[in-house]
Amino acid sequence: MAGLLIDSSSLPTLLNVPFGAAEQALEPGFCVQLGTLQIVQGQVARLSWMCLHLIRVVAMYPPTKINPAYAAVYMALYGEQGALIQVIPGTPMAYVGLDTPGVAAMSPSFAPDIGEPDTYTVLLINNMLDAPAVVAASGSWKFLPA
Amino acid sequence: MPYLTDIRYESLLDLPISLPETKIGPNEWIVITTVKIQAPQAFTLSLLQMTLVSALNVGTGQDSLSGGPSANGVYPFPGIPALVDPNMGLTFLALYSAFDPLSPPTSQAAQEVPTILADPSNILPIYAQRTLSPATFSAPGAYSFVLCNNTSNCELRMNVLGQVRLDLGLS
Repeated sequence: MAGLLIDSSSLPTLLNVPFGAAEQALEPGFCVQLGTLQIVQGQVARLSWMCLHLIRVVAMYPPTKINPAYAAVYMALYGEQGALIQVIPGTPMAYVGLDTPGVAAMSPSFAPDIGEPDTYTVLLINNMLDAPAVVAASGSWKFLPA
Repeated sequence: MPYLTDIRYESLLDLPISLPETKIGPNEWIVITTVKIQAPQAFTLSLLQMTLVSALNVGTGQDSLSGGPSANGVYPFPGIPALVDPNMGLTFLALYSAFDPLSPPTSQAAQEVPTILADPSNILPIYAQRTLSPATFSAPGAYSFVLCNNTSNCELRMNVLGQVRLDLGLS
């Protein structure tokens, strides 16, 4: 980014690609793919925004976590392994989580720029063993000039 | 008015307010999306619309789809709906700050006049659209778009489409 003016020829290459899920119940240990983005050579994308709303948890509290390193419910960005999910995968590239009902948003200061060709997936994960969760989530990728 | 630069563009994001066709039971509400902002972030709302696709009167069993379309290709609204709040139409879509999902939306203060779908005109689908005047919200907080079925006897199938432009305040 160099402070260049955006004109009618550059604007079509600058895309916002939003994703999200309206209020829905997420069963214990379950995850859903909110969106998968394939980045090819020459493209650069930034995960500019993730916002998670944990609306309610239907369980005794505190719940039992599957992976105690993470929040009870979280949304996270993964590389290729995320698209192959059968179990909750390893370290996310970006992360927003909540242990109690409320709202959390990713700090845009930590938005990762990704230029490595791969398939990237944002997952919404219920990390609890014994508690369904009702959640809503939203986010957005931004394609940047390569 | 300044021109848009790539640095400024980095700070602007479009976020969806999107709900595919979804069933909402009598006197139920759902959170469609929530945007949490902190200083100096802000968002601008300029497009918000909703469609009542079909309805089932759970009291009488009348369904707007079962009778088939009329000669005009539209479906009749199933009977007279009973409204929970007589001022809020059949269904409404509203923006709340610090929304409490356990309390009825009608008991909470909306950030602006809700978009109300009020016309039980015996014809479905019915559309409603917020005014196109942009409104900007910059006070830190969590803002939720909530869709509410304001009837006590109809199961509604709704869809919602809208957009907010978020300014991350990076530049």
